[in-house]
Amino acid sequence: MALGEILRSHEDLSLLSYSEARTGRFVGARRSEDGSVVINQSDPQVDNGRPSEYLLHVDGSRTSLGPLATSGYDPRTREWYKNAVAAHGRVVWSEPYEFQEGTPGLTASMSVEPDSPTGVFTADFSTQDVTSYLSRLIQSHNQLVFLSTITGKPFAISSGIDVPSSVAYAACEQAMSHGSSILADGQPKGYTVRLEHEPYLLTAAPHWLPDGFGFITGVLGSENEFIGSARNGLALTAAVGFLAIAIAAIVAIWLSGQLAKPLKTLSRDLELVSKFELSDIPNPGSAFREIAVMIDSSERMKAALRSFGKYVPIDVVRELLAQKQDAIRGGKLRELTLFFSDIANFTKISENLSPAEVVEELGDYFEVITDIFENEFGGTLDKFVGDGVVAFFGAPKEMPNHAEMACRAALKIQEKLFSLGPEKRLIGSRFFGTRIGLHTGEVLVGNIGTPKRFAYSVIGDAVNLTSRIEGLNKIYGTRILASAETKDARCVDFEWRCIDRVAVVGRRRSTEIYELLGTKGAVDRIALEARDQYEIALKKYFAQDFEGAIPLFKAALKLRPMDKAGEVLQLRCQNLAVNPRRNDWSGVYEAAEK
Amino acid sequence: MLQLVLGALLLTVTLIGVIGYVNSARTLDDLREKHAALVSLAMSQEAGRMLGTADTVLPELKTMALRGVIDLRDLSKVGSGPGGNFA
Repeated sequence: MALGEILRSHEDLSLLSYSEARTGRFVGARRSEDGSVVINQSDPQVDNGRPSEYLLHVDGSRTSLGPLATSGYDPRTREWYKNAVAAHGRVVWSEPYEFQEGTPGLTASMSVEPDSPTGVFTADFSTQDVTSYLSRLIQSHNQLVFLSTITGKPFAISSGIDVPSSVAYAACEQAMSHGSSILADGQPKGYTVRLEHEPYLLTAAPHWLPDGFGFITGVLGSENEFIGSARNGLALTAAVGFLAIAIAAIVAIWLSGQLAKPLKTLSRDLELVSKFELSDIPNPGSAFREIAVMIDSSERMKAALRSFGKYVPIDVVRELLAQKQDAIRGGKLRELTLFFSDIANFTKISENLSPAEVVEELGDYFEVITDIFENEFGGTLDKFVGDGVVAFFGAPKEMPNHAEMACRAALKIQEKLFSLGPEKRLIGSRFFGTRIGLHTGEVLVGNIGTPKRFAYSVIGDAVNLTSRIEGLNKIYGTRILASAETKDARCVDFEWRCIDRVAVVGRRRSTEIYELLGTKGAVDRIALEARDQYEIALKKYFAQDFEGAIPLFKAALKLRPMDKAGEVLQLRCQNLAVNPRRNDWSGVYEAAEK
Repeated sequence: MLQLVLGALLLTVTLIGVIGYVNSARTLDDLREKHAALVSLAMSQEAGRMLGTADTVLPELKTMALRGVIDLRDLSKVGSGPGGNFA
C-alpha cells in the first residue's frame, strides 16, 4: 500500500503525506485538478530542498512533472508538524490556512512514534469541496451558510447575499459573540443580524468529531424572504380579522340598539302601566318578531286597561298599586263632600230622542262633568245613575279642602255647560238644566260589595241627604244647593244665599240649605242685593213675622224677578198669614217629595 | 345589558384573534428555527463525514507503518509503492 492508492480510495482527501523526523524528507500524494494523483517529494539535503513531482497513473506507471520552482521546503518547520509531534500520536487539526497550491483547507496530522517520533502523517482537506457542498444547500439568494472552527475561523462559506461574505460573516461572528454562548449547551441557537438595515436570522450550532475537533455550522437567512410571505399573509389575516371585528362591532351596536330601544320603551311603558298611567302614544314597532309580539301584547293590555279604567275609579286603582296592595273589601269612616247632579226634565227630553241619541248626548254631558271634577278638582266618580252623577271629594286621596273643591267644581260645571259653543247649544241647552246638590258629612267610604265584586263607593245618611238636597233644586228653582255643613267647611271664598230650613223625606233632623251663587267678586251687585233682601225676609219668616216678610220677598223678587225661591217663600208666607199654623211650627219645611 | 354581552363577545373574539396571531407568528419562528436546525444538521453531517475521514485514514497509516506494510525507510515507495516506472 502507498499513499497514492489510499488517496484514490478517499475522494474527500486532497492530500496524504509523510514527513520524516530525522531528515525532514517529505513525500505526499495529492489530487490534481483533473482528479489524477500526483506524488510530491522533497529532501532538504537534496537540491536545496526543491520538491519534484510525478504523475501516478492508475496502472502504477509514472510520468515525471519535474522539479517545482520553490525550494527550501522543510516540513518540520510547519505548525501542523509541530502540533502533531506535541500530540504524541493523537490526531490534531490545524487552523484553516492556505495550501501551497493556493487553496484554503485544513490539515489533520498524526505522529508515528513507536519509541520516539519517526515522522508525521497528514491528511489535507481542501475546503473547496465543502464549500461546493454548502452552495448546494443554499435555497435562496438571500442566504449564507458557513463552517468555522470553534475559535471562529471560517473554513467554508457559501453565500447568495449581495453583501460580501467576509462582511456578512463578521456580522454573524459579532452576533454570536454578543448573544448567548454558542457552546453553552451544544444546542442550535438563534441570533438576529442586521445587514444593510435588513433583518437576518442566524441559526448556529457547534459539532464535534470523535477526535475532539470542533466546528460551528451557521445558516443566515433573510427574515423577510424566509418568513416574509407568511408574515404578510398573517398580517393580512389579522387586518381582515380586525376589519371583520370592527364591522361586527358596528352591526352589533346597531342590532343591540334595534333590540334595546323598543325594549327600553316597552319597559318604561310597563312601568307606567304598573302605576295605571296609560299612555295613548303607541309604542314603535320592531323588526324582531318576538319584540313586536311583546309590543302588540302590551298595546292590547293597555287598551284593555283603558277600558277597565272606564269602569273603575282610576285614582283608587293607582293608590292600591302605589301601596302594592290587592283590593280588599272594606271601608272606613271619613268626612267627605258629596256631589249629586241630574238633568232637569230629562225624562221629557229623552222622550223626543232615540236611545242612540240619548246615549250619545248623555256621553257628551257626562264627559263634560267628569272631566271637570276628576281632572281639574280631584273628585272621584262613584257612579252614573240614569242621567245623574254621584261623586265625592276627599277620597281616596286625602283632600283637606274637599268642600271648597266640590263647590268650585259645581260652579265650573255650570259655567262650562252654559258656555258650550253654538254647535253644542241645541244639545247643551238641555244641559243648562243641570241641578247639583252638595253636602259635607261623615260617610263610610271603601270597597263595598261582595268579596268577588265590589265598587269603591260611599254609603251613609249623608249620601241620602245629598240626594235630597239635589232634589230640592226643583222646589226652589236653583242650580246648586248645598247644606250648611258644606258652606261652613272653610268655604269663605263664595257667595251664598240661605234658601230655607228643610227636613228632607225620611229624615227628621232639619238642615239649612244654601244656594251657591258664585265665587266672591264674580257675582253681580243686583244678585247680591236680591240675596240680602231675601235673607232679611227669610229671618222674618223664621220669626213668624209673615206679613213683614212678604214685602221683603217682593222687593227681592223685584231685583231678581225669575227667582222661584222668592216666589215659593212669598207664597208660603201668604198662606201662613191667613191660615192657622201648628203650635210646634219652627220654620222647617218638610219636603214631601224626593 | 345586551350591549355589555355583545361587548364581552367582541372582546373575546378580539382576544382569540390576537392570541391566534401571536401563536401563528411564534409557530412561524419555530418552523424557521427548526428548518435552520435541519440545514445545520445536514451541514454538520456532511462536514463530519468528510473531515471524519482523517480519523480513519491517519490511524490506518500509522498502523500500516508500524506493521511494515508501508516501509518508512524507503520514502520513494511510500508515495507510489514498489515497482512503477517513469514513462
